[in-house]
Amino acid sequence: MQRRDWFSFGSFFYWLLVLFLYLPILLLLVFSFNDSESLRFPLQGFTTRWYSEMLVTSGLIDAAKNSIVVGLLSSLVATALGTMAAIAIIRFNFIGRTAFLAVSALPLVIPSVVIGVALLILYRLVFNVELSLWTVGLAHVVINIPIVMLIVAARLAGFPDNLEEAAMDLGTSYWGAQLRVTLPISFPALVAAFLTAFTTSFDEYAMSVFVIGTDATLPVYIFSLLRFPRRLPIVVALGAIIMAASVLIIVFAERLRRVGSEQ
Amino acid sequence: MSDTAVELRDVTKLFLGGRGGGEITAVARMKLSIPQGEFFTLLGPSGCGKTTTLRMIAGFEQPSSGEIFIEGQPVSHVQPNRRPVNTVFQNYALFPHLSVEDNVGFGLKVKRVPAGERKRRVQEALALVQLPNLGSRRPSQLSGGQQQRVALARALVNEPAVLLLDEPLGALDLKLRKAVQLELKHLQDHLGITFIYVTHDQEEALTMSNRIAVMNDGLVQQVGTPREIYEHPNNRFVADFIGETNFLPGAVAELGDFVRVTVNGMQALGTADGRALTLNQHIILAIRPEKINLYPHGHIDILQTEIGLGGEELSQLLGGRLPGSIRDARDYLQLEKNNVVLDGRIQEAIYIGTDVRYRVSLTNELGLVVRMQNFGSRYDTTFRTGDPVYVHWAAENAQVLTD
Amino acid sequence: MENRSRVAVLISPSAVFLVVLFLIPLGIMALYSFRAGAFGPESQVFTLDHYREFSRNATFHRLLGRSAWLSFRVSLLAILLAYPVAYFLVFRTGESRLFLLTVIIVPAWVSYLLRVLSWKVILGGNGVLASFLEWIGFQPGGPILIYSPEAVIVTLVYVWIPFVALPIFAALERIDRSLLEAAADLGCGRFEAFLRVTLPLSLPGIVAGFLFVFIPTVGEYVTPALVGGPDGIMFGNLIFSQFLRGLNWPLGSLMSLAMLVLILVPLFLVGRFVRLSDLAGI
Repeated sequence: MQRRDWFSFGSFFYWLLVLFLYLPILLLLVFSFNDSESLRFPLQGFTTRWYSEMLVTSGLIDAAKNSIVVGLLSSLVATALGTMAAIAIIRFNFIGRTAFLAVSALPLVIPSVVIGVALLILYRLVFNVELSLWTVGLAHVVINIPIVMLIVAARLAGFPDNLEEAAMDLGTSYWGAQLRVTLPISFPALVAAFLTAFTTSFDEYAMSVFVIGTDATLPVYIFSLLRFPRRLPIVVALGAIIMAASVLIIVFAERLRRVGSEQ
Repeated sequence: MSDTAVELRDVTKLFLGGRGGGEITAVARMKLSIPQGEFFTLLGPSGCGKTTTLRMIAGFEQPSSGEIFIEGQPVSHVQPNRRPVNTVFQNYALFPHLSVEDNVGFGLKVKRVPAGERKRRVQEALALVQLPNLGSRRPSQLSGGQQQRVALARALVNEPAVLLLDEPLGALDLKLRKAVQLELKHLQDHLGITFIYVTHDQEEALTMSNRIAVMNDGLVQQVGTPREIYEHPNNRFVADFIGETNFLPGAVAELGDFVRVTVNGMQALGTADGRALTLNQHIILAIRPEKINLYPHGHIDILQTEIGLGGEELSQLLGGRLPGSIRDARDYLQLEKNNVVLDGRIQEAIYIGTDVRYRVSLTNELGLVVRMQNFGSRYDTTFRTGDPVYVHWAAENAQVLTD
Repeated sequence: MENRSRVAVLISPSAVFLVVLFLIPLGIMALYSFRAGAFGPESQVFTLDHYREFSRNATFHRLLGRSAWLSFRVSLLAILLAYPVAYFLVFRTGESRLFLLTVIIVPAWVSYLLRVLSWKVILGGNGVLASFLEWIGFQPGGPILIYSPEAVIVTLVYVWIPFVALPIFAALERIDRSLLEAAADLGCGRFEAFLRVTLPLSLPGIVAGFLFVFIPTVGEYVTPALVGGPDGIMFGNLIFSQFLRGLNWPLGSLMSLAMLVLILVPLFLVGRFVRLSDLAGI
């Protein structure tokens, strides 16, 4: 019952939606090359000066560096922890499995603002620590563990569990079997999970703003620039780069996730 | 090194779960002793505990009580990777991310066998299972039969003392399965390694094994050679599970060399195979379809039928002296004390090529399935529905069972 | 048993994180709603003042209700727009459907902040839409849409449509086509088959999509801050101001609790009627 209705109403609606989704993004892209400080029509001519200006804005470079470091570290930790938890969930049946699953899914259903508030209280009122990139990084680990678990668990469920037993039968220890068999087979999923966690961390604002200190992450920095309309073109240029990079990363991650499940 | 490859002493395995939240006994007080070099099969329906037993020997499950010995050493607390056994899994469990060569060499690599020797042994193992040129392929590129051989090679290359096989032929089609059964048997013979094989297919077990342990509900029902198990089943389960059997419920009438039993008012004979019986005890008489013969009513020349020679030829053979003509098959049969002769009527006759299968009724409720082989002799009798017949068997071919 | 120790090793790091940095903070936040103040001697005083204040303040209630209503509308709109597209992809496009779905999904992964920002730019008074209309000769005068609840709705629908399309797509794809053939065989026309077979079977996907949008949107404050203006603020902005503008952390904690309760209601209702496995598509 599948017909190629390229000119039907459904098709029309689809392409309309695609237009709707991509137009704002493309507009930003266009305006990043627009030779004018205000983002309005008519266009004023082509320039790349916003990109070059962006590269010398020290606050921006620092914030970008911070976001990359926080993103890499927190994603590495989240990927490691989430992968281990996924292995436990999929391969073992233990008391408290359901409870753990429920708890690990919670960060996905609680709004960022509430998580941010709760962590702020924990950091300042309970532990009395200064807010910093570390406090942000830890928060990012927490919200990324469920995402990593989801991606890796899906992959693990896709191949039989007695591959580990076969490896042990042939002489490895349990942990050796994980290293030699489970991890290599799930590697594409691990990379996909890492990239997804990184993108989430890199873009995170709503929760991070509660627990961040004086060093800004990129989203926090961008938000602060919005108060200055003259800085908008730089923000737009930065936005264009981030968008292009995110698209590439996500497409790559999707490919990897698919590779894993086809094996 | 002891002569016994694997020994189980009073091994019990309990699992949590089951409907009431209680325990399931997967294996109950199992005692087995498997000598070196034997092809030993655990046979039974699904859920009987055979796979659990195999996994306990491999080390993937721990016995709840009892002890397992491999080559004389207790292994209950030894991890699977340290036992001198290797397993061929039901779904082969080949590593998808490694080539065939690397799959087969996996165990050797873990033991840090040097690359040159490893390569050589892998080649030998692949040649042994007749897959010499597929080393660089990936498992997903192989057929089911080829994957199965790779799994076998991967286990054998480690030269284990015992090879465990968990229903490895289940996924193969019938013809391939039969061919591989014979190959496995010859392989085991040639290598001399102890094979412990798990299957639910009784024909497979009979084909390949030196000895079989028939299991049901966690208990071993009987251990013996294929012939012992088939010809002298211990109980109703074994008689029913292996091949086809007729069961006639009755009671003990007289004890002796053979046991006389009454079945629905009829008299029959059977053998007790060493079982202790008392008078009037309720028993079940078990007799296999191929052990029963059918004879037509009325005058026939028995000798013609039995040895395929006609009166003229026979007369010449015997120098002109013919034995007295026998009026009826019953008279002839009853000359021999150990023969059982009952009256029956054909209910159904089905031709299946090698035999004709008959359903014969003895009384209104009691019937038998009988197989008569199509010898192709001139004097083969083919019965039709409704024909009255004499049903005959020899006492030593019927077992008197107590359960 | 080694199995238990292996599970312990595998689970503990994540469990520690989740307990210490998630469960416990939520609990403490709940407790803080009973404190008189966040810092100093006041923080040791137990009080129900904030609860009283919250229950009396009609503005709070109205804002909470408005946020819920707005979130509901955003979720509904997103579903209404995403469903036909998902249906089209699953039933009308054959092999290229995954690729076409990816085309829809990709914008979702572009930074949330930037996507909201793009709408701010478009809808602003001096912004893209206004200047574009001006440029082609159409003079509406004044800002179009921005700084209003409608702007918030449009922006959020824009953000969430790709995320809603995914579970609906997955649910539709899983429908056994032979069921539709059976419906036709039994006399259903195309539309009736859709109503009686396809729609009910895709319900788990719709519910999953709905929750996926509704829950985070209730807590939204970034989009309202950027494009909502004074008429478009939501409950999340109120919480934000308690913590980052004022110091009434106990009241803010209470508000967060109120928001959590608001979210738990639909979750509980859904949990009653739909199995988790259906939602997750396992």
